[in-house]
Amino acid sequence: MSLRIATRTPWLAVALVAAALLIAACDDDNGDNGIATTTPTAGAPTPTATQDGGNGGTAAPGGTSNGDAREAYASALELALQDDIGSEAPGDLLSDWDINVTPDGEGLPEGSGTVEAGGQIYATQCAACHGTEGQGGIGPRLWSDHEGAWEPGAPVTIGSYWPYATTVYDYIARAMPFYEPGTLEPDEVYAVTAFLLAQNRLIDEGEEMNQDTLPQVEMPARDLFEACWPDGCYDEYGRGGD
Amino acid sequence: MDAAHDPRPDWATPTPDDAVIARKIRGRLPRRRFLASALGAAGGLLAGTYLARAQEGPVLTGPTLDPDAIRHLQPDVSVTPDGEVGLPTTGLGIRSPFVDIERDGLKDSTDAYASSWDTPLQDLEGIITPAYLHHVRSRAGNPIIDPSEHRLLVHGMVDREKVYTMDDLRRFPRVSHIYFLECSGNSDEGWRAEAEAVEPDDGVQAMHGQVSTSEWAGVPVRAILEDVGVQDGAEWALAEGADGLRMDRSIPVEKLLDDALLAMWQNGEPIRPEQGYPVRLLLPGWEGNPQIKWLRRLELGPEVFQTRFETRNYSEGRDDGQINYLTFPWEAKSLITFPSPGFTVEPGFIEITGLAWSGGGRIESVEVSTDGGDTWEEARLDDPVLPKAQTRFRYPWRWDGSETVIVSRTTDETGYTQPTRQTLVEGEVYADDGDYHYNGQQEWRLHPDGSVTNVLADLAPQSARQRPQRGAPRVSRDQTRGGAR
Repeated sequence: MSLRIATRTPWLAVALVAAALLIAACDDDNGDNGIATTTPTAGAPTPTATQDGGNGGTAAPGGTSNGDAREAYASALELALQDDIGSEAPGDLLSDWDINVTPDGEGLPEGSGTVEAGGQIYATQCAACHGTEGQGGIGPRLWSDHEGAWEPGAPVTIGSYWPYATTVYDYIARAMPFYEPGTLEPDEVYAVTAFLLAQNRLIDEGEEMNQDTLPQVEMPARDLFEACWPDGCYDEYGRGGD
Repeated sequence: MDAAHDPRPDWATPTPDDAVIARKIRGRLPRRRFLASALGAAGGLLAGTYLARAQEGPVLTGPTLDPDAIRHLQPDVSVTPDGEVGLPTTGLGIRSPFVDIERDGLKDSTDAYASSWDTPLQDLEGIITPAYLHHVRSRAGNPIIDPSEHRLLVHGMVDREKVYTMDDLRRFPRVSHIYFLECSGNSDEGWRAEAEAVEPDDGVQAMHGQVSTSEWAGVPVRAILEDVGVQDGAEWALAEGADGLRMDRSIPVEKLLDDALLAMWQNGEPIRPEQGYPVRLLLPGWEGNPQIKWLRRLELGPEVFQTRFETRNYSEGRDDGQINYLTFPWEAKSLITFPSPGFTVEPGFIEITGLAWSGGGRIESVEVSTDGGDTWEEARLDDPVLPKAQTRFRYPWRWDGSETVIVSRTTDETGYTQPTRQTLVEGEVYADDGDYHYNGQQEWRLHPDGSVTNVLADLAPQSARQRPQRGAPRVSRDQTRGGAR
C-alpha cells in the first residue's frame, strides 16, 4: 500500500495543476450551455463553424468547442508540453505494429505464395467459416459466379466489391483466422490471398503473389467507390433535408 | 416474504448465516466485533457467491480476480425496519432487485458477429446512458487489456514518432464533453420495412437501441498531434485497435484536429472494456465504427488507407452502380421513447417524451404530432441542450383513448429537419434498400386497448411477419451486404 501511495503522490500534484488549468477551459467550453434553455430556441448559441461537417450541409458546424475553450486548452497544453511527455517510438515497436498494407503495396513483407498452397491452407484454416466453395457461413461469402464488378443485385465478394487486392493481404494478416488472428506467416498469407484472387478469377492459377505482383492485381470495383468525405454524398443522392 | 415471489437475486436472499448476523446486530455488539463478524460471515459468503457467479463468465477471469479486486466486493450488511437483512452495501453499488432493465442483444458469443447489444432507451430518463447499459458493437469481442502494458503509437507523417503509455496520456490536460455515440446501422430496419417485416412490437430498444449518450473525458487528439507535429500533406490517419482483428479505419486529420477525443473516462469512471478500455477514439457526431476502441496506433498519411471495414463494410452500393463510402457524420434524428411499444397507456394525461440528437450540432427544436403528422406542436427541451449530444424533449398531452399515431421530428442548428420515412425512402438511392444512417421519423400507433405498436409493421407483407426470436443470431445480412450491426 505504501508503494502505491508513493507512486500516486506525484500524480496528485499533476492532477491538481491540470484540474486548476482545466476549470477555466471547461467553464468556458460549456458556458453557453449553462443558461437555462427550457424553450427550444432560447439560448441557442451561435455555432462556431470550424469546418464543413462534410455531409452536404447537414452537419456544417462540426466544431463543438467554442473559440475561448480552444484557446484556454491551448494554453494548458503549452504549459504541459514544457515536459517531454511520451518517448521516441522504438524501431522494433514500429516494425511490429505497423502492419497495415496500403494500395501501393507499402507494408507488404517479403515472401510469396502460390494458388495451390493457398488452397490447402484455405481448406484447413478458412473453409469452416467461409465454406468450401467460398459461399460463406459464419463468415462472409468470398467468391461467387458473378463476373466483373458489383452491380445492383450482385453478390458482394472480394472479386466484385473489394477495390484493392492489397486489402485482402492486410485483412488476412491482421485478423484471420478469426480465432487465431495473426498466426499465419507471410508466405501463408500470400498463398491464401493468391487462392482467393484466383477463385475470384482475378489472377491465373499459376500466378504467384508477392510484394511486387499483388499491388498490380486489377480489381473490378476499383473505380466504384465515391468518398463522401469531405463533400458529402447525401444531398446529391437524396439524403437532403425536407 | 413469500420465497417463491422474492424478487431478490440468490446472493441477496437471507440465509441462516445472515439471520445470525442480524441477531448480532440487534444485540448491539461492539462495533469492532460486529465488523469482524460481518466481514467474516456475510462478507465471505456474499463475496464468495459473487465470485462464483463472476467465474461463470469469461470476462472476469485473470487479473480481476486478484485479492485487491476481491476486496472491493466485500459487502457491508444492513437491516430493514423489520429487522431483516437488507441489501448489502458493497464497493460496487448494487441496483434495486426490483429494477430489471437490461440491454438486449446477441447472446451467442461463439458467433463471429456477436457482441451487438442494444440500449433500453425506453426505460431511461434524462440523456445519460449508464455505462453498463451503453450499447455495444464489437467485431471480435472485448480484449482484456492491462493498462500498464498498453501503448499508443503515433507515427507516419509526423515530425517526432512517439509512443505513449497510459501514464503519459494522463499527463496531458483533459476535457470532458457529453456526446452521443451511434452505430452506423442503428434503426436500419427502417430502410427495409417493406421487405424485412418490422414486428408491431419492435420498439425503441429493438430498432433504435444502438445509440447512447455519455460524458466522455480524456485528451483531445489535437494535443497529441501537436506534440508529435503533423507534417504538411498528412490528410488521413489510420486508427487501429488492439482487439482480435486490429480494427482499423481511416480518419480525416481535419476531424482529429477539431473535436476528436482520446476517451479514457465515461460518466466519471474509466471506460469499460467493451467501450475500449483503457483508451478509445471518440469522433463526436460521427457513426460508431471509426471510433476505434482499445486504440493502440495512429499512423498519419497522405491518403485514405482503404481498410477492409471502410470499403467492404460500412459502404453502400447505389442504384447507379457506384458505392458510397466514408459517410461519417450522423444526420439529425429523434424518436419518442414513451409511449412506445412494450408500454400500455391509459386515457388521460400522458407526458410524451423522447430524445433528439444530431451529428450536425445542437438540437434547435423538436416537434410532436399526435395525429399522425397532420399537425405539429413544439416540444419542450430539457437542459442541457448540447452539440452532438442527445437532448430530452417532452410534450404534455391528454389522450382521449381513440386510435392515433404519435411521432416526433427534430431540426438541428444547421436548419436540417429530420425527414419522414417516405421522404427518406423516396430519395434513397441504395441498391439493397440501404443499411446505414437511417434517420426517418418514427411513428408509434396507440390502440384503444392502451397498447402501442410500430407503424412500420404495417408495411410488411403479412407472410413475412416472421422474424428470428430476439437473441437469435442475425447474421444473414452480412452474407450479402456490409453488415450493419
